[in-house]
Amino acid sequence: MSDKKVRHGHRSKNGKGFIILPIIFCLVTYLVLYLAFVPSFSPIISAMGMFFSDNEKDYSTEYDNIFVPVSENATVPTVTKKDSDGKEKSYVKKDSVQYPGYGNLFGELIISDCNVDANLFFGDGDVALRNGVGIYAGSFVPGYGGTILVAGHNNTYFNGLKNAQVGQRVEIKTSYGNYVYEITDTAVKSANDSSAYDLSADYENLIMYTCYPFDELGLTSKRFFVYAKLVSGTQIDKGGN
Amino acid sequence: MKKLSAMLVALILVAATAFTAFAAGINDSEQAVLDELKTSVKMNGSEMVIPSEFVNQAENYFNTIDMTADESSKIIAVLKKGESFLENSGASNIADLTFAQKQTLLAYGKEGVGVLGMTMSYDTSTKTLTIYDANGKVAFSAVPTLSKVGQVKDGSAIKTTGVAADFSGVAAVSAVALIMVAGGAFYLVKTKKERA
Repeated sequence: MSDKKVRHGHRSKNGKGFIILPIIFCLVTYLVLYLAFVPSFSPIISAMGMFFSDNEKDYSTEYDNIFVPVSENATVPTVTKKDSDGKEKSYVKKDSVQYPGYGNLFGELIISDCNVDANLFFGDGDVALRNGVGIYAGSFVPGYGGTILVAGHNNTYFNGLKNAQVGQRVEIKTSYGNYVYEITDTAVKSANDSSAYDLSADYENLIMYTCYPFDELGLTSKRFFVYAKLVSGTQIDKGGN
Repeated sequence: MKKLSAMLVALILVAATAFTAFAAGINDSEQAVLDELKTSVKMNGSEMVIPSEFVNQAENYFNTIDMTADESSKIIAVLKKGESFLENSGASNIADLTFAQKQTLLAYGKEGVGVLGMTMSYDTSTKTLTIYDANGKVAFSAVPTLSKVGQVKDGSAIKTTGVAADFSGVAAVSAVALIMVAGGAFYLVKTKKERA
């Protein structure tokens, strides 16, 4: 009787050692791997969701969407003022511009030649870059007359930047007007190279960047910059005379 | 005729209120604060200024509000106190300030943003200063620093756009966790075998 008990106990110990522990180990390994790689996969999963989802996804809990596209024939309220050269110029009336807050989805960025079509956010935090491309909050929005510094992930929304060439057009649609830019230059520079952009520029210029090399897994110290100049679009009235 | 007049007035009122007006644009009060933010301070013989990317963030935020003259003058008064404090601190930059001096500067900051109903917090681990608006939303977030007049600040504007920034940290923690789990499992199996 006592011999049976010992043998039963021995079998149960073997069961724990060779079945339960490997299962726990396997589950923990998968959990750890998931935690390690979810930051890399989440942008891809969110991008794939755009193609495979039947229903329009509700992002309202993640960010505020203030983007109401302006149709081609629609007119935006403008005001006429004299510019620094004394010439009369039309500006988008400041009262009609809902200036985006940090993290707001407020436009769309399209480069047809590069297959880039992304939501445009103000702010380049994780939520913005997971769902589109984002303007650095220390730069300005389109139409403001300053530098527009836009970031996007190289494995999702800005993967198409690898096809960027001088002369291609970039369209930015916002609720207060549509803007067209023309690519003037591309360059690979260090992420710490502050000469790659000028945030105090007093003229409108668009700079888009993503990690370089493209399609490389892991952290990279280089960035691929695409520079563009304003071709058309009404500037926002900033106030004053 | 009265009814017609009343309907006309009602229609005009509806039309007038239906137009949505926003707070875009920089008014004189906001411009005065921006000008003060651009003022240089002399620290250890060097003229120091707030980097343009931080002033731009303030300008962007001011485009979403309508600051009054009273609020503007209160903020400018706090800014002047802060400038004077920095000039007499003996430090060359914000990073060189002592802990007590940083606390004083933070108190000035809280007083300044408090005028607009905003709050400010400082994360000592990431050395990041975050300002929240009255609704608790982030209005500004950056590592506070000053740059020499005419010098461009190092590129903190460029983000990691390949994989998430915390990937290497997570990977390291994951590797350690894996080794610990493997070691623990090995020890348990070995102990049980020995007992058997």
